[in-house]
Amino acid sequence: MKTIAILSSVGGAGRTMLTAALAGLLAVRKHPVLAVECDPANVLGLYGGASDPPRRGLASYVTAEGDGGDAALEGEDGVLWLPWGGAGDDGRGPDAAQAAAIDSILHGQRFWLRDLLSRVDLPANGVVLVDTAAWPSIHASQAIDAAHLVLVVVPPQPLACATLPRLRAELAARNKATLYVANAVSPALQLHTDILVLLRNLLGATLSPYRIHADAGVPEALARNENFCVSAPHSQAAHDMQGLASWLSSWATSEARRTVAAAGGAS
Amino acid sequence: MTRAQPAQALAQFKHMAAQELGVGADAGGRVWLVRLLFRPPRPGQRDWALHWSNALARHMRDELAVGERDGMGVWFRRLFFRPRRRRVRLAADMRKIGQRRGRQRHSLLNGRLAAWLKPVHGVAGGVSRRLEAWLPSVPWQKVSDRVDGWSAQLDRMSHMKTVVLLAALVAALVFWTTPLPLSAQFQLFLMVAAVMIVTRRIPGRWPTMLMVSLSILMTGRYMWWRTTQTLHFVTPVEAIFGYILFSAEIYTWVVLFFGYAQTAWPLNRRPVPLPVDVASWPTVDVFIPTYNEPMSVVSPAVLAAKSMDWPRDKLRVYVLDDGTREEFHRFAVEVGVGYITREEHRSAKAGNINHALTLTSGEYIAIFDCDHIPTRSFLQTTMGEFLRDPKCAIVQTPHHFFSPDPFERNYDTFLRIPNEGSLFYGLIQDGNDFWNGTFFCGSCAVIKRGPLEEIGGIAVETVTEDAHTSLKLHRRGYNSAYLRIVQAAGLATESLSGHIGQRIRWARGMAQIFRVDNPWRGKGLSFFQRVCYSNAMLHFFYGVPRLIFLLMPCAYLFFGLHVFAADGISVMAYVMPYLFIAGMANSRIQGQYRHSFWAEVYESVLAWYTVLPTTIAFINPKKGKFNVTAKGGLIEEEYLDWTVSKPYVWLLGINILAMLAGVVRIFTTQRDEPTTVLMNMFWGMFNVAMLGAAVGVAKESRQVRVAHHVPLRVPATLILSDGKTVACHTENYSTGGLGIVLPVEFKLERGQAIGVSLSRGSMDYYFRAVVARCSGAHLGLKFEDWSYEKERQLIQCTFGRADAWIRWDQEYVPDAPLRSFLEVIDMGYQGVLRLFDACLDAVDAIFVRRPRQPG
Repeated sequence: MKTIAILSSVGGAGRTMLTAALAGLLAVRKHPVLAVECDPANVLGLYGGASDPPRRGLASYVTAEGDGGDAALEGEDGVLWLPWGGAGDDGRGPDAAQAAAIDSILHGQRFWLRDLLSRVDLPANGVVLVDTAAWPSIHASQAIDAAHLVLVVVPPQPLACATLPRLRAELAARNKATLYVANAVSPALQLHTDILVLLRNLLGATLSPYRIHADAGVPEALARNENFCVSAPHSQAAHDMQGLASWLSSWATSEARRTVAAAGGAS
Repeated sequence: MTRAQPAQALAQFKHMAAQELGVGADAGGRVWLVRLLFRPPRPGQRDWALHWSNALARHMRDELAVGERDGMGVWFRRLFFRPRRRRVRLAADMRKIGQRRGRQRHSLLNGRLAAWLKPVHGVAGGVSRRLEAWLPSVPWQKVSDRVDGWSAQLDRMSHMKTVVLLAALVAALVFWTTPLPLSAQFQLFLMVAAVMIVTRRIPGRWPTMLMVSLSILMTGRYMWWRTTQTLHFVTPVEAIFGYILFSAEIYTWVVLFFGYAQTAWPLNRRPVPLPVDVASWPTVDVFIPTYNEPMSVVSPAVLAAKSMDWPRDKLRVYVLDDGTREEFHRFAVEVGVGYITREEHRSAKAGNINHALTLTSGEYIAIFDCDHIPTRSFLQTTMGEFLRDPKCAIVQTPHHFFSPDPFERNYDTFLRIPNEGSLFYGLIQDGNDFWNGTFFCGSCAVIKRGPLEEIGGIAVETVTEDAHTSLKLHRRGYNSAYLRIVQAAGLATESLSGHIGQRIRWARGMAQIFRVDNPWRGKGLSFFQRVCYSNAMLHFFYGVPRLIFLLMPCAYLFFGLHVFAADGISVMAYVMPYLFIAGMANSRIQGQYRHSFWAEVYESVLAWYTVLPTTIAFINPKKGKFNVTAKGGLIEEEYLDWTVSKPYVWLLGINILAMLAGVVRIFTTQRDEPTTVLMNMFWGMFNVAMLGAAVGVAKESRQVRVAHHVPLRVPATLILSDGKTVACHTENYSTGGLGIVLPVEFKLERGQAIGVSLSRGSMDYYFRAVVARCSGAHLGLKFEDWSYEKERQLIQCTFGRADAWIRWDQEYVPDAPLRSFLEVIDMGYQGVLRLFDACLDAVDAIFVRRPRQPG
């Protein structure tokens, strides 16, 4: 089982959208998939098809003292969804004291998420996708520590470029395998083209060749409660995500094989 | 009142009857009739009576061509008079066949035969599969590897090669000349054929050599027998015809043996990497000669040449405009390339290049025809060879065509069956390269300036200046290299007459070189270089022998001349083995590049037209004029090119008459030798098929487009005005426009603004466009704010990609001699039908004087 954290250094980069899309695409590629939301925004469930923000989820594991086993949802494509949870009545979230308590636990136990995920029983080629809050935050930090691979979503915006060096330094310090992927790229905009050239020079081979094109159909699919890659299979954005999913699939398979081989060699 | 009463009563009666019979108020007469005879069904049951009557009526209407609303009068008339019908075309419509064939890539006849023989095939396949499972499988690859090992060991022994070759020569002489009784000759054939069939399955080069050797042995036996046994003629007329046929055969033997020598060991040269230090790379001038081609043809080539990967300060592109057109001058200035014109227009393209040589100074010269678009990697692929071998003067790459030539278009064989050029660029040039005898082909090549100036520039004595130039370089001891990697692509000639014109020029030029600078005379060439050059020239003399073979059966069938003094059985015993074994060997060597029997088709089409030019050039090399190959034309109307096909119609007529004469002969005068008649008739049938194919090619199918569109398939992204994207493929390209195939049908309005983005590596290039046409999944775009800069970007994303033509030949069907034979026969048959259709059209046009409706 391999864990992939989906990260970005600015908000609105498309992390949750990408997490949800990749979860479905990896499930099609015969990987058992668990999509985890490590973000108090509690929106992953909406991408998974839920109509209301879920009450139970990852937060339940913090507050309900270890018993949140029924918090995960299963989608019709076999993807397991574990949203953040914690929604209250009347559309309210957890109260301030509760949120502070959760944060303090996350601050106190650096490997809390990693330990929790290590208890998940998925087969060797299983993939856990962790959607996080924008970095820097304690939620992103937990996800980085839990991940085998960090997938950094970079929108071609000046702000993303400005905050990228700090994130890179942090990931390098923690010695994490990293793949950067540009999202919402519009070829019509000269700015996007220029920023892509810049990123290519800066990141080299760690920038994925699959840049995900901007597509008005993505928010539209969310509004219609549809899976974008299924409802618009011929869009370029769906093609790009398919490519990225294939890359991740082959990465996960080869990593799993290596882990099994290492374990076999050890015994 | 009194008049209204009966009508009212009638209506009342009708209403009552309708209720009784269960007929609707507005039902037609037929329903009434049915209901009078059959009761309406109970609820829940089907109304069979009405159902059948409807079916019957529909059938009658179809048969009699009566409309839905036609009255009784029409029905009555149609019972006695047939309506005018459109004449049905006998020949199959190639475009429809292509659609129907879909993914299956065989001809219609093959498909039909396969469908008929499906049960047989299924049983045979099952049995053979079971046999294979039962028998131990032979690891053919391992056999091949072991043979390679043995040969390497033998090679290490000194003088072994000489001894083996001498022993082989002695054995061959004995084999050729030993007389055998007929039955033993047949047994020999069966044995050799068995060896060939087994050898065919072993991959590698040595098995090929074995097949070639066996073919040489069998051919030699036939030659010996033919020369010693079959040249006894009774009358002088027979002797004359007999010796004509014999000399045509000698020509084929020479070409066969030379061909084996030329193509036995293709070199498959790989590109040599360039040094890391870019400063040591040499300077290159790119020449793009043009004369009368339109700007839309030339500009992509120039822009692509300018964006080849090479240091900017070491690459200079020149347009050599022999038309001295102001438009081209402005274009050259705008895109930043050199522009060279000259005062005197002597020696066509060769003169044009030689003139430019005096005005430029690059160490190397890359030459492209103005419609050949190079990829960005052209120079980096080719130049390494020069730096490795300082004596290398020429590096040639294949000419690749991304549009179908007339053969391919008119017989729908594009990307299915290798075309005429495939053999030359796929095999012959690679075989020449082994003997250091690669020819310069006028385009897609790099030449070193020093050697070229040493021989006085491009040769101007003949109309094929390219081959002659490389001959001169080889005479001076320079080397040549051939890289069989497509690094540039261009347009094929559009019409059959243009195609034939080009071949006539080659044939004339080669004949001229044969006279002016014969490769067998003069100094400087190795023996095998002489063989390669002379075979290339001899190839173009095929016209006369081909015509002899096409007409020779008539000598017997019409006049009863015995031009081949042997009985049928001995002919079977010697000719069949020779043809069969040679066919198998050639299929092995050439199969990837030319299918069996297709050489006959190509040569039959061109034979008539090359006879005169080659003969004239052979007698007086100075005669004849240069003709430029027209490109970028378009065929708008479907027609049979009568002027081109006239000689073949005559030849076809003669052969068909000869068939009839044969039938008469077999029942009357020649009852004593039916095998001879039948054999001549079989030969004649084969000729009819070839000639039918030749006539069929002249039937030009319509090309739909207005400007010349270049087929082109690369991935693209559409960006619609509402911000959605579509992943799609391009279909074709023309200056300022792009054809797109959508993954699903979209409804797009004409004139709607749209964005299209193409990628080059990791870069996206965006082009603004409007929808020009949209039908189903096919979309035509017209670019907005088009400029040379935009065009350059587009070329870079498309034709200029280094991988643009990689694996272009993977769609070819592998050669299978029997299937190929059927394919050729099918072509011949279709050709005859097309001729028949065209004749009826002509008759129509004369008598009816009414344009035929398209259909």
